Amino acid sequence: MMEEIFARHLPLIGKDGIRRLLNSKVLVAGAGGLGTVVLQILVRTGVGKIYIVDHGIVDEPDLNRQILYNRGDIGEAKVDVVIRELNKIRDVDLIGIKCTIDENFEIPEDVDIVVDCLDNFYGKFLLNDLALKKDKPLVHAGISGFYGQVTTIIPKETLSLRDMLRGALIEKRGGLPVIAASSFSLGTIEASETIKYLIGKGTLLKNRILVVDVLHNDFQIIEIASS
Amino acid sequence: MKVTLRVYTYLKAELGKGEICIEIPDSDSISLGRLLEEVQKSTGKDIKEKIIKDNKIRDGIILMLNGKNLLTFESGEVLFHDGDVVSVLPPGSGG
Repeated sequence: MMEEIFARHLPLIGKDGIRRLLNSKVLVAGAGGLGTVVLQILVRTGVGKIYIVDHGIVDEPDLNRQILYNRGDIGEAKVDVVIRELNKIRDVDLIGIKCTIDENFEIPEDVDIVVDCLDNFYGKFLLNDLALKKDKPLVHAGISGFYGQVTTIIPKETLSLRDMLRGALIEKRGGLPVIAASSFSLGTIEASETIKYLIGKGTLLKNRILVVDVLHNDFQIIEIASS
Repeated sequence: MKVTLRVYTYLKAELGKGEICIEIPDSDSISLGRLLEEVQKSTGKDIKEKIIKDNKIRDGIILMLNGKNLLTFESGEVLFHDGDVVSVLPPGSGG
């Protein structure tokens, strides 16, 4: 029997869509501003199994946008809080991985799609390299201030993220100014891309970069030549 | 010849518009530096120093020619020609 939590979007994606989501496995790298939004949407929409990769501890400046954390969580491992909070929504198979993404990180074989919610291009490019090695698609987003971009990388159909965004600053640490409105907007679009890929519905941002500016309500698409 | 420049996020805010078409008479090619100087002449807004430093594209700026990342697909100085669309994106790196 379908869980009642899906009643309002069942008419939109059908029983088959819900079944596909329940059988899907997603790896979300980063449980910060983007990741906490993506994770909440994936769980509420019906994804069955989620790997959550983050090594961080909840800190007070996170609370302006990292929607799964509250004051009482400060000092706790983000992955532990995420699992506790998401399990309050519905029963999901949640696997926490407390580490940073490095060359030795192994994307689990059963993952259908990877979601890049990391806070630096060193990690973002590396994550996509690792995903491509295992022939897995990846949804990318990045934010700076009121701005951000989203694109979906499909092996053999699009450029790698590294080739598409060559020239991006490869610093290892994050900490840029950011506001909840941009995190939520970009995270929501990332989650939407992930869900559309999993259920095979709609149009993906494939060979296209969606640039979002919440300060001026500006949404623009850059068409990318894939070769 | 005509070359179109498209800029995004804070560069768009700086320029006051996201797209500008520059017409260059008596020439069949133009460098990035000269294109940005022409943009300044046309708009009064100087975005060149935000895009170029020491004759190179600044770190953190992605430059695309007709949808192709110049650093991925080209080496050396690139000249733009009639009908080209040059896109400049400073991508967000945060999460």
